[in-house]
Amino acid sequence: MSKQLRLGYIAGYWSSGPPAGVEEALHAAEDLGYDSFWTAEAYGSDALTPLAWWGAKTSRIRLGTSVAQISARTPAAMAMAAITLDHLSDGRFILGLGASGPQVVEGWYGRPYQRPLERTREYVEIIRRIVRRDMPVTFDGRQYQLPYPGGSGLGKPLKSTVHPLRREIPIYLGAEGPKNVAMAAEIADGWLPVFFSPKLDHFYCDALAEGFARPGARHTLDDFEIPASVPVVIDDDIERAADVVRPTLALYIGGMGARDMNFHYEVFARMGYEDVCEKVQAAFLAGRRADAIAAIPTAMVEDTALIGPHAKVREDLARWRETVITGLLVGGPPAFLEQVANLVW
Amino acid sequence: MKLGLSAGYWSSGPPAGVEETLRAAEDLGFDSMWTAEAYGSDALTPLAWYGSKTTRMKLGTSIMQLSARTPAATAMAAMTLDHLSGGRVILGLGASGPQVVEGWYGQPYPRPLERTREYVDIVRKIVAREEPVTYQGKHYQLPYPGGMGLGKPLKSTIHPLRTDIPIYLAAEGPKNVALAAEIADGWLPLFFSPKTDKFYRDALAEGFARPNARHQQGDFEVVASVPVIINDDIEAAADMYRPTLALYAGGMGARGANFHYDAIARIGYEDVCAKVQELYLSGQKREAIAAIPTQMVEDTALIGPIEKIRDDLAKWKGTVLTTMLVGGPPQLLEAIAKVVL
Repeated sequence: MSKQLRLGYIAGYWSSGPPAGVEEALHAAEDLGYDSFWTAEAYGSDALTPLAWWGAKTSRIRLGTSVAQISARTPAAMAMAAITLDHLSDGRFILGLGASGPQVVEGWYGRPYQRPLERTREYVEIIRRIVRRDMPVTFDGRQYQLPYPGGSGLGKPLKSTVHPLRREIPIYLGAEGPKNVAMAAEIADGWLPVFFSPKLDHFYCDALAEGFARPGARHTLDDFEIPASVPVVIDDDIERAADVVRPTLALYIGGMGARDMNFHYEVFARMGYEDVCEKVQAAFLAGRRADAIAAIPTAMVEDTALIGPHAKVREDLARWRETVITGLLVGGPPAFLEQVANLVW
Repeated sequence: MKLGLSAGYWSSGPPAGVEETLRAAEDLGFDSMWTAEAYGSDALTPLAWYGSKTTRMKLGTSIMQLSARTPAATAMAAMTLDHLSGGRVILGLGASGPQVVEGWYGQPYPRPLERTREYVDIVRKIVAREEPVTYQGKHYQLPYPGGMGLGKPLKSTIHPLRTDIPIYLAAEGPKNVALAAEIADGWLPLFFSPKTDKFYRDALAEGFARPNARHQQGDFEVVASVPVIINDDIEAAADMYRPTLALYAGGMGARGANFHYDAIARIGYEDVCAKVQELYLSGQKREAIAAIPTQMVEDTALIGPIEKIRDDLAKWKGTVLTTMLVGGPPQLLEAIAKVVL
């Protein structure tokens, strides 16, 4: 029995400037029956303003962040944007959150990174309280306190002036490590994996099951969403297709995160590529980017992406359908989105 | 005098008819549209959502609260929206007050001027994108000192469309107004009145005279919300605005730390403000509203028959204001455009 996967169109974050053709692709995605549209942020473009700008031109597709970074904004600012965008889109907003890593959080946002799981848990709890609007919000956590203890002492517990359109706006968590994945299952409404692989399905199933089993968990696997961003490269030449994905993998394994704290590195190591990861990181951090890219084996690309001729991708998809994921998130021009829709559905 | 459309922040839900109003404003020659935030709707997502349906108007926040977001998050949103809108963003920032900053955002309020200066400095550095950003301020440090020690000075991945996105500051007190003149590209007053024009001109002049000030009065924007209520019955018109003045003088901010109180008192209403605050804070909201004199409304708003408004406008046109922000349905905007533009 293989399940029907939902499709999402992912615009991600921008490289040096705004990507061309998003509006056309988004129209195509909506027409094709894509279920969701996603923006992201790193340390350039933000996730919210493009989601609102482009989202304003849609009528049906759900609008999500994948992800908005927790340390960028206070929980109240994030909750306000969620409530506002949920109204503007008539209940189509999905708040995808992620802890990001210490380089960005401490270097760019100027916030402490330690204890990201605890921080995420508190952040999500505050947002849920603000959105529900049952009473003026106070919070006494280890990382967040409302009102601020100290300062002028004039802080006042407040309740959002705006009433939420939905009292429960779906919150998904970006997570890579097993503890973080378990927490997503426990406190969130969906999980946004990074570099998901059918090879790790069992590993993630266990982590999710642990979260679902905790007291107070909101979901079971049956009503929990797992949209996975998966590179799809359709090309009769498999090596050439792999070449398209290799630079991204090399960048994330080698250069995204500090040497001893790179969550992407760990994901690939967990897949059985510890040796490759070491080599890639060494080359990348020594400035030998081309060598880092060349060190990515084609099998590793095939484990995390759908590449090759049309027929092969269709066959490979069977493995993905049997996993926990509930949808695929892909990016590209209208013709590509159509091709993917034809392959998946 | 230019006109701007004020979409403000929402009360209990999204206002109706914004898109029609936007279209009307753009057609009527309005120069800008503005969103705001308090502790309900945010300023950025409606600006982007509604802004995507415009083609010419500048898109500003009036204001975005400093303590809501890190300087980097604000800079990212400013650059992104500036790209999306083809260079139409105006970043209006304000310190808000201690009740919201400490109660809602969970951030410390003290030393708002110093904090504002540092915040603006970091936003400008990020947008200028000349080098990886580091900062050693009293309120903000990049990278974070301590933590895991893994913070890395970074440079925005995206290049800005404009390396110098206009930043306006909301300010009520004279020191804060001087700061706006010194470090910002515009000032967003609250409860501006032709009667306080001289007071604010002096504060602005002090800022313009500081070393490294970016502007002079001649190329500095002053954008103020001016309520316009067209009604042949002046008292009835005043009644529409009295509750707002009572709320801001009486109930927005703690006793002794209510900047609106000060701005309104400065017009010459210290006694009225004291009484209104007393009434408001003791739960006598209706009495507080009744205590607002019609003259006070006329000093801070344009009310009455359209001919009277046309006459009263002369006083406003002679002030430091460069843009009047108004809100309302298309017919009202049209009536205002006719007398102002």
